[in-house]
Amino acid sequence: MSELRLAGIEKRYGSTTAVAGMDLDVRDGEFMTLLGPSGCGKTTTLGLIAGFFPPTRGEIYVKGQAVAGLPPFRRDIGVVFQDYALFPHMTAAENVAFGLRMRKVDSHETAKRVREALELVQLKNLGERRPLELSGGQRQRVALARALVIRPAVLLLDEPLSNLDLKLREEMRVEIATLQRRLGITTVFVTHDQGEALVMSDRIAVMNAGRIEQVGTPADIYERPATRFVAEFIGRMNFFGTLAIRPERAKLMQENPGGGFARRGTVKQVLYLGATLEYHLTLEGGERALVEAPNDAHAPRYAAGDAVWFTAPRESCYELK
Amino acid sequence: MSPWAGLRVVVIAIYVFMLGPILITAAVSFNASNRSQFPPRGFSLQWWEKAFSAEWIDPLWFSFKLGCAAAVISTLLALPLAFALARYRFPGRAAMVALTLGPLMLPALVTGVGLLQLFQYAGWREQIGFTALLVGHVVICLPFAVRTVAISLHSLPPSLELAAASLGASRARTLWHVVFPLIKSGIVAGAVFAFVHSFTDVNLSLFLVRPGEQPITVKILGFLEFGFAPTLAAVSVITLLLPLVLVAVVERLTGLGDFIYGERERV
Repeated sequence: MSELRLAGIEKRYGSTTAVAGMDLDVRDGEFMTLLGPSGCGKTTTLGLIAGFFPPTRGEIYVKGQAVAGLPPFRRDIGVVFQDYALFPHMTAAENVAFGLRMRKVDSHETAKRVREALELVQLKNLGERRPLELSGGQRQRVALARALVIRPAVLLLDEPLSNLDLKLREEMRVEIATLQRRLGITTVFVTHDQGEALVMSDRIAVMNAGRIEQVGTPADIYERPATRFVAEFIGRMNFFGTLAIRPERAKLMQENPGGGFARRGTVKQVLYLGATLEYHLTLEGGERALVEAPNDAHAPRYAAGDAVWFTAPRESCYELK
Repeated sequence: MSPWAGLRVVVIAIYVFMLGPILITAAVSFNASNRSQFPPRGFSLQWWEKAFSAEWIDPLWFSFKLGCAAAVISTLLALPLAFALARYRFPGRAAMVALTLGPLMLPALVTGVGLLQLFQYAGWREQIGFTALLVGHVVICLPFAVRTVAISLHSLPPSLELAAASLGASRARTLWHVVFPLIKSGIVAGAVFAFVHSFTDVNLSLFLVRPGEQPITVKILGFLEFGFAPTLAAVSVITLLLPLVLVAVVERLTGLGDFIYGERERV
């Protein structure tokens, strides 16, 4: 059974449509990512699930129960906000206890669960600190513990990593994904960062202009993009009309091997990126193309001005709708 | 001359012109003669004794009561007003902004005359005195209270309220457990501004007094018509110290200065 289901969800503000008729099923224990550029409606969708504002049309089901008409405090949903939204006048432990207090859980049980939640996010000894006395990563963990301690049916994460520096962000990616799988909690994660989406998700819903363009596993999305938007938004792509070829799947050759896609061209620029080399080409007919080649000691190197073949095996070329 | 030296001159000038008259007034109140001389001739406490007579203590106490009532009522009105203005867009919002800030632009004198006429035409002559003064003071204090509460609400990220809601707090409990504790210093600051504004007002009060129900400022103004006696110096010092002491106490208790001179960092 799906844990969370959006059925024909629509959100309009006056004449602008933020979410345009969206259907989505999130399975029990699944890590679902809403991925898209800013303004695509992903954060609005999150707000609709949380109940911060009502949908213009459509229904939302949590464990089969229709919740679109319920205020946020009657839904069983935990939210981690982009700015963490920790209560600055409470300690970390008080922040985590807030949801339990609101649910009138007795103080003994509350203390126990707060302790467990703080342990879960490795903040066992920092419970008495105020948010101001914590680092960005620690605040993030408190926010996570606060949302998890109420054992919600669905956990919503709104770009929770965007305020962290690069190194910490990469650590937290793995940590959050691991924690999510360990707890088996149904999760909807909102991000504009394709790297995060690919690494963390069971499935990704790519959104554009208030609609879902494609839903699939990270490999589906990356290797079998359904639309030109998805192909362009995730990773880089060479387009030849409706035919698309990933730069790392293409090869430069001296001769046309035959049996796949091949075009004659000239190397315009070579970028040395360490692990890979990036060849920028101009093909016959004036089209531009990009090839990402592994920095392999035995592979032939090309230089700007070389005449080459841009080739790709048939299985690496896909037709887009 | 370095810019710091220039700044120092300005600061010294401000202190001289702000504190100078106060110190002179204080000194004059200890005169032994009945003329308001500076520097004072001799030393006596006779004027202070007079200042603490019923003639002066009654209007002082009246002003204090009036200020407290005006501060409490305007702050209570300011809370929902500021909340609506800071959080929601609704038809008539612009009119409400104008209404709450209007009295700030209008000379209180005009408001006073208007209120006097209103009370007379409406047949509320009996209410002129404390009630009419209270109505007038609430009107002129409201903008201060609304502004300060609205500023503290604006500094509160909306995600805090959403977080509370998602954790199971109803609207009322969100206000009680999250919003109020965080805007407390703004509310107190609003109330203190309202009190001080009420306590120091003379323009509006002038029109709405009746015998036995007049604030200290109107009493002082009336007394001035007969000249300046050292008694007045002593009364002025008391009138000045009362709001200062209040502000100092509140500052100690709630950190009012943090509100006025920049919020503590928020998460």
